Amino acid sequence: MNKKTIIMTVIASILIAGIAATAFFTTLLQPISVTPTVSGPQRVSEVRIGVLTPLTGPAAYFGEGQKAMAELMAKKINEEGGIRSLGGAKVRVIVADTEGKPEVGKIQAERLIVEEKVHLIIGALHSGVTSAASIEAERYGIPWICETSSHPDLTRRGFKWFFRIWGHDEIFAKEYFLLLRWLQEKTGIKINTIAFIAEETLFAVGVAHAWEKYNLDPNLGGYKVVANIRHPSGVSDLTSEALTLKAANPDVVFMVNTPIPDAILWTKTLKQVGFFPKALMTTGGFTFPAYLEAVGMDGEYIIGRGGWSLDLTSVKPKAKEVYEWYTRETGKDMHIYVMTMHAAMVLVRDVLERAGSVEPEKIRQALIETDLSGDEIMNPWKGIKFDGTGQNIYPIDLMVQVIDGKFRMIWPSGFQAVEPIFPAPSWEERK
Amino acid sequence: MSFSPSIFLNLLIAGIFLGGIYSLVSIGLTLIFGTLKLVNFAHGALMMVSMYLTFWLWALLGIDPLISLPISFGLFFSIGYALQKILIMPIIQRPVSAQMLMTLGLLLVIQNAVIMLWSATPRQVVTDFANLIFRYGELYINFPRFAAFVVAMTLSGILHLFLTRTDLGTAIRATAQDSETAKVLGIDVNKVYALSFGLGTACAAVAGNLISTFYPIDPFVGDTFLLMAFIAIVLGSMGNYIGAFIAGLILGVVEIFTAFVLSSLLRQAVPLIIFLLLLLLKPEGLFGGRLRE
Repeated sequence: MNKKTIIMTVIASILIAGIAATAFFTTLLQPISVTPTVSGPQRVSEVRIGVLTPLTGPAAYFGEGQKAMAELMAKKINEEGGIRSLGGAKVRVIVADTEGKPEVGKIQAERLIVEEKVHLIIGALHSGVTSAASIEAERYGIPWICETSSHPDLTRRGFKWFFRIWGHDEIFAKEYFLLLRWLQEKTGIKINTIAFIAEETLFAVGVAHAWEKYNLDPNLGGYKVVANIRHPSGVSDLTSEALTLKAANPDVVFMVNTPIPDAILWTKTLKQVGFFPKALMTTGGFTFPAYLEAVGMDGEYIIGRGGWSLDLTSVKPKAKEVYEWYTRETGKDMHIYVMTMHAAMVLVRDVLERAGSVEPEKIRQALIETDLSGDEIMNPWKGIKFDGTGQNIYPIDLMVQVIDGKFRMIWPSGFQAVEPIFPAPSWEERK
Repeated sequence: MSFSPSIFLNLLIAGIFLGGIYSLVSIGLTLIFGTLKLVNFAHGALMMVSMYLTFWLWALLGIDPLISLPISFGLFFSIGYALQKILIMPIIQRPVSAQMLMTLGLLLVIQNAVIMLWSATPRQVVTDFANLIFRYGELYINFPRFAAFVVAMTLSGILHLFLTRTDLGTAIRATAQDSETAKVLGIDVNKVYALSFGLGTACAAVAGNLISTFYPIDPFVGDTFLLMAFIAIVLGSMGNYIGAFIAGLILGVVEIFTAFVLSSLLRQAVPLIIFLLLLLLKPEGLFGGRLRE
């Protein structure tokens, strides 16, 4: 073989490997048989917490915040005397990069368990990664606290060691339809047609499916779906998708995509083709400060399932306290993934204090018995308490709208800070 | 999916504009491959750094991307030249695996350095003209994309003239054809290598500069474009810069129409299928040969 052939073969192999990895990732939500092993009790001077999050790849911005919060919380706990029930054992956070890829997350989870000997894992942001990586924790019998992955199936796998503090997409998806109904009742404007747009990841497709499901319920949705678009993440151009959308001309667009760059590109492309629906209801990359900074006033009127809004600080003292502390210490943006990492670390501390041991079974038992007050965390939840599947029963999320360059809380009613703007003005009307 | 003439035209324009960027990235990549016989995996990363340079020049000093264009070109020509002298030269006679490790390593180092320096927060250059859109009825032309396309075409033209009409250009092409003979004929092959690497990198830098006004900047943005560039240079026959140029345009149009007509999910798959078919049926590419003689 000459050099050129070798090079082309290598390039071809890399490309094929990429496709294979994608295929691999779509087959991961299968239940597996597990053989938990229980390690014996140890004398502890430190508790090791594995944190799985993307530090490279398109979602690195999210992971950076999570890493900063996890490390900051560990520092705070240690400065306050460590875990008292363990004789002041120090908490050490070991952050591992998932690159946002399920196969990498799986390897990293195993490394954390086998080599770093972590007592607990928090992770892993992406549903696809959590799905794959949590199998390792289940296999080795290590408790897993899922902070933000929202695919409904994650807590339906019958796992023994898996606990999710965050809600799942079927809980959240319903909020969109309730909000839409409320907006119509308020303004008397009738919505007939909608469109769904989702990026092809486990998370986004899960959200889209949940939306589709609720729309079938005539009491909740029942709108005519005029376009249903799926696109890969990290695309170089979205003109085709935007033109498809414009041709279908839906009253309301439901859009879900994770990476912020994609959200930026969607916004710019919608402006370019001159289309904006009466309401653009989003989740994913749209509800982050970095998004708003990049698009400026073009982000106006977008509605999102936000998690974070500065308005929260005026409703919830803990949110104000943590927000000020975190931004002062790190200089980084506050966003939903930072909030959930904070909640996860608060839970870890609470669980370890109650467990009084680093034995996996004891930690698991403490997790099951969790009844954490909502006053301890930033999130607008009543608290943390798990049902039989390991799902927190309290999470809710905020709906925000971008008004005057800020995420303002518009829903649910207890958290409404401003009047929503509906219908949103078209691009022409904004000049 | 039904077509109206205006949608067809809008798609065609979007495809050609996107293709123009692919072309520019591909020309640089193929120029390096043609002369040095080296696959530069760091090409996309260098383009990404150029996007950050454009961003910082704009954010800190208020320099418009169109004005910082020559700065990008000059600076990245020098960076490419230096990279070749320092990192690539020692391994140029080594096996392909060593070369790949070097450029892949460079890619990782650059990406991680950027994350450490500037974090993974996505950024965007927002200039006065960034939001300029010309409308002719149902036809819309986005000015930054249009400008990017025009500059990409112009630069490709200048590069072509340079390679065919100047002594240095001839030396590059001679080295690409047969480096041993070129050496015998008194051409300073090492200098030609550095020059080609510099020029190739400068092409990527200009592409990065041009797209920074309409494409979000993050440390991994290069990957998206590099994948297409690899397909383009094989499609256009590796080392053939005119082939890469045309292939880039074709890929842009194919991708845009695939996304509209078939499914957005196939937008990257269809070019990959074309790529695999080509490897099977016509492995030398559509245009044959290395650098045009």
